[in-house]
Amino acid sequence: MKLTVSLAQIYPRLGDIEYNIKRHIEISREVKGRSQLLVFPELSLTGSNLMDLTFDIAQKKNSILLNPLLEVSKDVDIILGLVELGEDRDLYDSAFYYSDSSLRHIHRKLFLTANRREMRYFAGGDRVEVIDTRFGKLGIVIGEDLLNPISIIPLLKKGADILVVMSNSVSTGYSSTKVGIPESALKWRNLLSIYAQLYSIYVVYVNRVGFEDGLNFFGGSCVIDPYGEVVVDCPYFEESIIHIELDFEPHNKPSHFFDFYRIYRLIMENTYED
Amino acid sequence: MRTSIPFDPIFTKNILVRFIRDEVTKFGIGRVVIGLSGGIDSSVSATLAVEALGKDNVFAFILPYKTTSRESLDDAYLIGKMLGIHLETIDITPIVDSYFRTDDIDRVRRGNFIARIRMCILFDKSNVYNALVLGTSNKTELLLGYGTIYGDMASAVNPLGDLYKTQIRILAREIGIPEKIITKPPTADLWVGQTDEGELGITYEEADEILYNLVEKRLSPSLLVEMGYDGEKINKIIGLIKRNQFKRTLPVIAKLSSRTIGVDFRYPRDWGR
Repeated sequence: MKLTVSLAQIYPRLGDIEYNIKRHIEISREVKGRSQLLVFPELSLTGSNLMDLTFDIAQKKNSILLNPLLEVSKDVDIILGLVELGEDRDLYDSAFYYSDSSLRHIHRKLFLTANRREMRYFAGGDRVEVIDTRFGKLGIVIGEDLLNPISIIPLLKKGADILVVMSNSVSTGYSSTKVGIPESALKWRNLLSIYAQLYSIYVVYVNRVGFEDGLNFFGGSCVIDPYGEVVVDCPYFEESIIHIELDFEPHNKPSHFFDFYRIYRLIMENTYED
Repeated sequence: MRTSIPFDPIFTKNILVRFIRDEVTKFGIGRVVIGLSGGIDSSVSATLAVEALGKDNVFAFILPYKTTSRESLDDAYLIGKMLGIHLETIDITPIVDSYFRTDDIDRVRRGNFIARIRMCILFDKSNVYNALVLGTSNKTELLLGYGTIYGDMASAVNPLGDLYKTQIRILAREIGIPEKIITKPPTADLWVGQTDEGELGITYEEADEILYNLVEKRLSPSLLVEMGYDGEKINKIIGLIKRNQFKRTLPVIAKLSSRTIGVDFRYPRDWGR
């Protein structure tokens, strides 16, 4: 099966959801007819370092403010990020999947980080599910979710072909091996490559760029094939939109590394045994 | 015992130029003002600002007091001319001396006053030129509290605040700062014969290694002693970091309401930008 996906490595305006929605719609129109799937970074409608803005700009899933996005999703499937106000009145770092003028799926970030104070504002999600799209099975995770195999294994067990990783990763540290990019960017690229190989899956990684209160988001969005090779990537530090056609059927084979079903069963049994 | 502190001057220069351009222009302002002392920090800040905003958008001020050394003045002038930026010299001696009315004054007290008069002038000029004040405090100074609060520590945008002094030296070479400015002994030049290392009682090389191991690597003081660092110097540094925490925070506010600024009213600086 073939899929053309667009990676929108943007610089959202911090806390200005109306402006960011306009940007998302402009980009959706640009890729219309060209791509079937358009992926934005984590918190793409809101910005990242929100602090108390988190309360102010949270949206319910059926907020009328988001209607224009429903509208444009008749032409291209869209994955974007925002602060979601749940029915339980908790706040979530969420990814919305829009398709055919409807909200098809929500992924709520499972593993929040303490160091960026996400835990102060957000509640963690409690499930991860495969999305059955017209171009194959797709899983979405956000940032550090990727680092915990417990978030990924259920997706693989349900036969996901593509893993979308949305991110707000910041430049930190100096690389001792590669000049010009931060250590954190190098680490993320290595991890993405390792996980793509281990899980034998396409990884679509979309990170943002720009500065917020001195934090620099490094970008470096990319698609990595199931052999761990970078198929296409955006530049570091700069806004960029790239398109890539994926032909993923040939790679749809059992993993050489994991017996996922067995791992899953072991985890479940060990968790609930006592 | 030497620790090598990781650094990538090419990456750093790229990020800091983007940082200055971004954090200045998104406030609808494309200009900065900066005080040039002739030292390495203000030379590096000014050079990065020129690359970020263009020489026509950088307004530099040399603000000597009567005790300021000839060398400091010459070096400040050299950097200003080298960069081709707007350059103005304002002698602050009359302002300072009209307040104290005597030269027989505690040198630290007068030094702090001098630093704050310079701050007043820079913020006034920022209003005149519709510009932001560019900071020049480095991470070593900020951690050790070796600066005047609301004086040289005051600015709107500080590109150097996460760089140790020894890293700034490497960056300075990368961006073409004259060698004599890089190698001369660092000084606040607030009184004759003052040097940073003399006052702190430790070299920047040693201080930066200890700070890096304590702050970035989170190593314990006892482990640092095992690694061969001087226990007294380690304790002195830890004492300075703690004692000067107030210089790195806003004034403390008594909590009364349900939402107190800084406690549970927390918004980013770049709100809506």
